[in-house]
Amino acid sequence: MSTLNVFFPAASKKIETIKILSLAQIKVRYRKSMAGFVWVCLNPLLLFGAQAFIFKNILKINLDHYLLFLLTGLIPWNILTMGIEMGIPLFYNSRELIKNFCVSPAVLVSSFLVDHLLTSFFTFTITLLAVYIIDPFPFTQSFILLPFCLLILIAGLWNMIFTLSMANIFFRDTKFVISFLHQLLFFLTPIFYPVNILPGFLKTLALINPYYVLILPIRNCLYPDATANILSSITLAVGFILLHMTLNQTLWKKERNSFYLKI
Amino acid sequence: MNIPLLEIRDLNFSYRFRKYQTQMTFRDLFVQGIKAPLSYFSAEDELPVLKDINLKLYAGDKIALTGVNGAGKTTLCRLLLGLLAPKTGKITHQGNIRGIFASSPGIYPELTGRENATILAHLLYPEYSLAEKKIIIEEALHFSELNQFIDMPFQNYSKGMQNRLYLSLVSAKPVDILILDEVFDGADAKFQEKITARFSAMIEMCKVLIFVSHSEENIKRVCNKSYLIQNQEISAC
Repeated sequence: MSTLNVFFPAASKKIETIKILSLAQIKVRYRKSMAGFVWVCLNPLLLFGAQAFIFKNILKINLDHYLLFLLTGLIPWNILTMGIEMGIPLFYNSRELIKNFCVSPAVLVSSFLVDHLLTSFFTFTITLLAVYIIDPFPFTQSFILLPFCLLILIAGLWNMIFTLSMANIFFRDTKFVISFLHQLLFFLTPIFYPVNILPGFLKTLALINPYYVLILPIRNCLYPDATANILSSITLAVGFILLHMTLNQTLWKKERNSFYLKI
Repeated sequence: MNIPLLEIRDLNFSYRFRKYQTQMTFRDLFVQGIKAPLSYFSAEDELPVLKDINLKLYAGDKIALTGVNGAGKTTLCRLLLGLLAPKTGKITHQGNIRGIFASSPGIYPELTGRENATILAHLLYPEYSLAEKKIIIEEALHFSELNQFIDMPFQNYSKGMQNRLYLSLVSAKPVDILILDEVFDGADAKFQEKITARFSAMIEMCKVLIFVSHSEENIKRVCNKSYLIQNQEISAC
């Protein structure tokens, strides 16, 4: 940290602010007891259990290691959608920090993500272990790419929260629109069924669906599927993230003054 | 040679008019799209706020910014802090700059006064070390006289108590260029006297002060120059 402080003082200050704000948010969220943390982790786990039961036993989706297949779609989906829905009011709720203390919106998104990802990855690991115990699956070489694929998911989520939290300053019903969109996309995104069962047009649509683009590298690296091409899915996701980052930058440059006025 | 600590050159700033006027929702946007689809492509008008602003401030300048509500005083302060980007022109400054815009911003209401003070100290004094920040916090907490309330949740504080904590902390250390935007109101009468004295001492130690206020009494007390923003232009008065 001290080396960083010497060579990159601005970056060091930002990292320190992210640390302070993340800790504050974690304190606010879990200060009552450990039960708060357990509940936040247990919630998606229970959701996964219920959905796994329905899709496997009622919808009769027959795939080898279906629980692993579902986990690689559903948990990243939950990380994305819950993160986005919780992150949309972020700038509005933190307007005092933005206006009075010149805290950069980018720093706010990062500190929010630290808290969100802490619980999400804990849930991810616990579920992965539970699935392995129930239905042991083979570990392929691509498993080592998991940290990189998770990083892709985080970067994608960062971009989405930035765009939508900013949109929420201009359009105060953003949360409701996105919540509706998530309900719709849950069925249109191949998270609990394989993309191959979709007809041509819907398959193309799925492959350019930003949520699926970010989820696919994780699925390809964990789920043993001979037809999966992990490198192409990573390339597509990284390309999407870079494009979104450029769009965010352009949006910020164009709307910055209106943002501070509206907030 | 006397070098200005703060210099504004040919600054112009305007807000985009359509966004200035209304608070939209996606529903409104949809309805507007159905009713008048071409309006999406119509050019936005601009609302000029500041026009051809030129200002040089040197060490020892304590200036008051006056003008009616909506004249552009806070906008100018936000431009100086780098929050807003000018349309044209340039702002340069030497040394640290700090802006204080409110008398009791709620940071994390669920956290205690002490925890909020720690966060505030970090945001206000990033240039100080951890040990120095601890001293600043302890001194400010002592000054605020909140005593047994310090470890209670901030949301349980009265407005006056919130002001005490915040004002004690923001006035703890001087800075090269200080911007105060209507921050003196809110504390109770007894504490008001005490905090005013502390602010005055801090202002004395600052090299440049930009003071936004509607109170002529306060302006006379702390400033040695006065500028009026009127019709988007700034002039000495």
